[in-house]
Parts: sequence; C-alpha cells; structure tokens
Amino acid sequence: MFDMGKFMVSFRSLALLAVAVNVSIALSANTAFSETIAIIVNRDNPVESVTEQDLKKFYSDISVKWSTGERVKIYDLPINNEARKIFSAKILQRSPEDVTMEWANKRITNTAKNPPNTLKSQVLMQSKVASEKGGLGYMFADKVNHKKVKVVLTIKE
Amino acid sequence: MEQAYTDFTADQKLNVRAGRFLTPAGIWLIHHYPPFVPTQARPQHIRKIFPQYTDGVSVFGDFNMDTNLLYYNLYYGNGEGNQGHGDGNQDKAVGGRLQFIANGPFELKAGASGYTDTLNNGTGKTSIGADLAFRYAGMKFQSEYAIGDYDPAEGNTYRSIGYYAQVQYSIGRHTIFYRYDFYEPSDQADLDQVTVNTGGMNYHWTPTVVSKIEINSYAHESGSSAEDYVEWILSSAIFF
Repeated sequence: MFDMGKFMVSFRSLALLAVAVNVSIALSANTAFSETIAIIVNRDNPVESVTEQDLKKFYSDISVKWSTGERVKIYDLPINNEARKIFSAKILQRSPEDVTMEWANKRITNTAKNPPNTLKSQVLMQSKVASEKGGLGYMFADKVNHKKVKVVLTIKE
Repeated sequence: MEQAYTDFTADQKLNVRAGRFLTPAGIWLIHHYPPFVPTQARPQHIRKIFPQYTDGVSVFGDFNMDTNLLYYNLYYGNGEGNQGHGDGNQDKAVGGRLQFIANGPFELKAGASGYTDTLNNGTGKTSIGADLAFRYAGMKFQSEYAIGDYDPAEGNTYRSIGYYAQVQYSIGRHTIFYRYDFYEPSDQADLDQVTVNTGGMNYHWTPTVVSKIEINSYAHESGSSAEDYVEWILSSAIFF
C-alpha cells in the first residue's frame, strides 16, 4: 500500500536539500569573487604603481630593473598555492607548472637573467619583500600588512 | 665536456662569455635538455650544420622594447674539429645570432643564425639558419631550417639541408606531440635524404620530472625497406 505521509516527508527533504545546495553555490561564488591579489613592493621603493604589463615583463625575464635602476628581486609562491594560480593565469596567461618548467629550462641552459625565489608562504613573501629594497611579490589582498609593504596594484580573479 | 665558461655581465645589453659554450645557433642546440623537450631523439641536422659547441668568446645581450626583446650573440672560436684540443687550423670560426621575442597574447620567437669556418681538411664551411617558435595557451610550435655550404680544397662544392617542424599540445600533465624532420647531408650525393616522422606523449609528474614515449619512423630516399625502420623510445628525465 502506498504511504502518502512518508512520500510527503521525502519530498520536503529533497526541497530542503535543493535549498542547501543553492546556498552553498552562492557562498562559494561569493568567496571566489573576493579573492583579490595585491602586488607588493618594499616601502622604500619610490614606485607607486605598476601595470599588469610591467609584471609580465618582470616575471617573464624581459625586464630586470625598476625604473629607478634598482634591480628587481622577484618572488614566487609554490605551484599549488591559490594566489600563485591566480597570479599566473591573470598576468602570465599560463599555468604555474608551465612557468616553473620554463624557469628550470632557463636555469639549466643558463639563460635566466633574473629567476624568482620561490617562498613557502605569503607571510614569508611579505617579510622578504619588506626587507629587500627591490623586492616584488604578490599575495591575497586581505592578508597584506600595510605597515610592512606597499601595494602597487590589485588584481581581481 | 659540454660547457665550461665564465661570464662577465656589464649590463642586460652587454655580456661577455669565454670558454666552451653551446653554439648559439637555432633553438635545439641550446634548448635540448631532456626534461624540457618532448623527444629524446633530436632532429637530424642538429649538431651537423652548426657545431654542438664552440671554444672561444662570445658577446651577447638583449634589448628591451616594451614587452618584446631583441637578443643578439656574436662569437669567435677555434672552430669545428678543434674543440678542446688545440687549434689545428689558423682560421677561426665566426658566428652570430639575432632573435626577436614578442610577448603579446601569445609568445612568438623568430631567429636567424650564421656561422663560417675553415675545417681542418681545408674545406670552407658557411652555415645559415632560421627558426620560428610560438606558444598560445597549451599549444607550442617550433621549427628550424638550416643549410650548410661546403667548399672543399679539392672537389665540388656541396650543400647540406635540414629542417623540422614540431607541434605539441599540453592538457594538464599530458603533452602530445608530432614532428616532421628532414635531412640531406649533400645535395651532390644520390639517395641520401632521410625523413623522420615522430609522435608521442609526455607525462609530467612534476614540472621537472617527465616520462616519455615516442615513436620515430625513418624513411630513406633510397626507398629500400631494409634501411627504413621504426624505433620506440621509453624514457624518464629528471632535473634537480
């Protein structure tokens, strides 16, 4: 015999599940949207802003100096770091793995002019940029300590 | 020994290198290390029309033009046949390379190379080459063309010709590739042309650890089935 009561309960459960899935998707989308990358430099660097094209030149080994003549010291994060993935896609239009492979090739052929130093964390990157006058790095904007470094560009995912 | 040199860098535009260095001609002579090229087998004309390395000095650098780069290299060395063991002939080898690199939405590299030398047997040799490479998203294309003109002290002049075109496409950790390769050691000799069709796949465990499978199919101009063959190569390469 068909139990109408149980059927109704199951139907309600399904409806609640659908609402929960919708909420979950909305929250995920909102989180992704807020992932802004800050490009950071040393506070003593007189440069006030950089363009995405400038960053591409520095991280592609085309330019090695700031407009002031100071050598750029570029830093990278590990290939599985979310900030690195966003930076790589937006600025270099390539995957972190592909970029890492190219730097390794440049190292073995001794054609790298200014290879990046890869640091384990954003905290470490911030402290390195803070202590190196020509330092250039990136991290999630909401993690920046503005007393330590200067933000010269922000990039939204 | 492949390379042993010292560099002096005055500026990005001016560097001086002295010692043994890979001859800066074309792409593959420099960028040939197994973790970073799709195949183990190199194109046939590589190391033949231009020598693998040079003992001498080179002056090189690059000029930054917005997001583009113009690279130059001029070198002067002992020449082919005298590498690492004196200088049997007094005629030094001279060569040069120019390369333009455009970094727009896709990366484009176009280069030209030249080299002249007198071999130990008195044969004059002049080589020229052109190369082109571009990359867009996961696709890479690379091609080189080179000719070597030989002028023996006795006998007829002859020309070597070699070229290849290689395309590869990466999806995640996988790269698939295909290369067409042609080489003719002498245009005065009969039935010496060889073409090689190469295809295969790479799996990148990490950016510097790769396993490869490739199939090379050799076809000789002579058409002799005894000469033609297919080889399979399985390999792994690590850079650390």
